[in-house]
Amino acid sequence: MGNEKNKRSVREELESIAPNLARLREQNSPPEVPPGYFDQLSDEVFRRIQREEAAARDVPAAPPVWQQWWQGLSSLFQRPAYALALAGVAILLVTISVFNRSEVADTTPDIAMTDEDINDYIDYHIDDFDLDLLAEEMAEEPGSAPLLMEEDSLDGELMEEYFDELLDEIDLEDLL
Amino acid sequence: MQAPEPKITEDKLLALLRSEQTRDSGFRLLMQAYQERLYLHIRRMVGEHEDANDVLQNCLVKVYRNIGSFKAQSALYTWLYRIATNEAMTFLRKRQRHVNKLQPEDEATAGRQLRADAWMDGEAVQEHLQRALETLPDRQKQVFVMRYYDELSYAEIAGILKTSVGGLKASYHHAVKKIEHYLINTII
Repeated sequence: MGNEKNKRSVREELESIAPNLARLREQNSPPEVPPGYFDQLSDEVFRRIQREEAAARDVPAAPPVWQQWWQGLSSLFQRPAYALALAGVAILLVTISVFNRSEVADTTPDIAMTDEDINDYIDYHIDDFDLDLLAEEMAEEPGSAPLLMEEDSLDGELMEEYFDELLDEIDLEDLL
Repeated sequence: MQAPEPKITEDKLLALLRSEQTRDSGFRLLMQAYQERLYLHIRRMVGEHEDANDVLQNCLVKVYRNIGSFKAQSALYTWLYRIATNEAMTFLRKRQRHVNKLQPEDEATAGRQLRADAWMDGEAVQEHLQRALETLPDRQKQVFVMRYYDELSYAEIAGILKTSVGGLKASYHHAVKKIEHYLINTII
């Protein structure tokens, strides 16, 4: 680094760019250093290294992260304002979670059942039904037609009308 | 700037530094070989002896702690020089922040005092040069010190600062012009 050729080149360059600064450079003398400074420097540096290593050993090991978090959280609770705020947030969270749960209960999916499913179910469980009770239920419904029960006798005129209607519905061509 | 000529080769020195048993004796040899050059480099950047001493000690402690990570991709002296430059720059930035906090009157008083002493001796000139240096951006400051004081080639500076030669030439030209302008306005 810094051989004679280099130095000459550096000085020529400086002379061409900034002649005043080049003249100042010629007056430049090395700075004064206290006597014996370099003789003592290595001892001083080693003393400093040892001091720093001893200080590093004396520093207690940092507590685990969870402990640092817990300590931080505990210190928050020691301030009334923070404690109240945290309690408010906790209550809010509980309320929100309760509302969310009831919403979940209400949102059970609809089970779509066709008439066919219902008929199959009735046919399968027909023996379980009390037919008399069902007939009473249906008779009580407003607008429902009067049911024919076993004990009821059929009016002859009504029978004729019923058969006439049936005959009208039958297409004679289908029978041929 | 003349290259330091250690009494021991760089390879042998590194071998001593990398062994636990011989690290301390190797480090003493390293300091003997390079401390004066590093001190001069730092002193020219920071000005005062006390500051230079602090920065140099920081630098040497850092070298001691990090010598294991030195990969020998550059010369040992280049690596030392880089650490010294970085430490000096860190110091100058801290000092600049402190100066910025001073009241404007304090700055003005300091300026007047410097002007009164101008050209009386080399020490005063160096003080002015130091003040001019502190007005430069970091990169220009680094290049100026390495080129103006240490007389390093652009290739050597590029190796230390890990940058291109072209950019360095421009930085040096800007730095020289700014410093000359500053000195003309404050001293002459």
